[in-house]
Amino acid sequence: MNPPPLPSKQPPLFANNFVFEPMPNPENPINVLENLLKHPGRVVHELHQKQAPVLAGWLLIFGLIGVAIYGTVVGAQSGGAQMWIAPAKLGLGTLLAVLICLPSLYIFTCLGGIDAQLRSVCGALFAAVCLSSILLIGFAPVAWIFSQSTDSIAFMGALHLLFWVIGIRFGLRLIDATGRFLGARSRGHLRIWSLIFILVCFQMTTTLRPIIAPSKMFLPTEKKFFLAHWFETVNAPNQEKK
Amino acid sequence: MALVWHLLPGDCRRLVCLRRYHRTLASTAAVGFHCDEVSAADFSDLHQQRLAQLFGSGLSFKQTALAILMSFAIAAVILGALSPVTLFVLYNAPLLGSANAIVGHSMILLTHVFAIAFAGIMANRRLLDLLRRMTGRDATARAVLFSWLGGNLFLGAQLAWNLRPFIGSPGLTVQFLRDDPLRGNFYEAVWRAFQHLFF
Repeated sequence: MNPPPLPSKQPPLFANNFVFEPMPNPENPINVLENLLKHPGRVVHELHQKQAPVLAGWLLIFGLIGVAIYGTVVGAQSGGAQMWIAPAKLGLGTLLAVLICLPSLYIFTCLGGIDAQLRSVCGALFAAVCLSSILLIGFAPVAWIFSQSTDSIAFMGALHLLFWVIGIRFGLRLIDATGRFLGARSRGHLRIWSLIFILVCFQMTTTLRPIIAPSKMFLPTEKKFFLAHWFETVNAPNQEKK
Repeated sequence: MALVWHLLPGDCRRLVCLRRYHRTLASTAAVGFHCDEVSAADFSDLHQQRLAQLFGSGLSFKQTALAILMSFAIAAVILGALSPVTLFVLYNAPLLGSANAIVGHSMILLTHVFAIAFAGIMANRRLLDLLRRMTGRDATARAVLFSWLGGNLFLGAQLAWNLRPFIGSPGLTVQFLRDDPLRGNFYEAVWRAFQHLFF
């Protein structure tokens, strides 16, 4: 049996090996998700076409749904009401973080020499969130196995954060590639923005706490910074599962 | 603001093409870059002849003032974009009347200091491309930039300290100006806030 023939000509590669080319059948949401994983450059390309607002809307919706699905796994650690509280908080937190960081992303892309429109920047950010949420869904079975085998809130929190960092790493890579696609002169501005976005998301986990552990109140009354909250959680004795 | 918004997405050539905006400004406010009919290339050559005013940059007083105002405007835009983030930090900070008021105040103070310093540096950094084109020399452009940064950051921070309070302090009443505005300095206050937060 003969092996499949090698392609005679490699497609042109750009930053991070992204190929920016038109996406076939962009109206199909499932096709958008498939291309986001396999050919993210196509999604970036489509975000600069006429149907970009519709595509960006789909990406945001899919991103929030994906985060909410992962949230059910996060809530499974405690069960009960936390099964809907955790997805709601993760979805709300993601949306708030996007809204908080969107103005600075637009300004920073402009400062980076990118002649981008606001809708393109929105689309890139929504695509990044969507991509990271898809990866989180991929990690969900692993997280669920651990959540059923340990009572440690600190361990599960660290594990969820690790998965989130891996997911958002790919999302931020997509934003960086979008910047290159649009002719960014430097990557410094987007890197600084990435740091701001990550810090805001970290703080959001404390603002909307508790997400993993059960609580009688939906939101906390005491205000803390995320590092203080994390250290307290690590030093606290294990909480028994309810 | 229109000037700033048109500057932000542009590259160096667009910066040099300020003449379009300068023409408008010159006709309305007489700021006078004198570049009504010059091309982009001529624009740089024209101003290279005006050397030996400050670091040999060739910038006139009016041009320097306009450039600094431009950097202030860009800094204002950056700060405006960061305001949701700082508002989020403020929301999460312990209240000034709570037990952790010192930590909260220190965090808010440092956040604002970093945000304003970042905006100022980025805004002045934005002028570097313009200065390079106008002076034709990288060393001169950097010298001018760092002198502006020194003025804006080092002295500006101390002036801001003298005009305190902006945020307020735990245990102190809200005043338009402190009774002893010249006492202490900005850098000591930032260091104390840093110590409260991390030590």
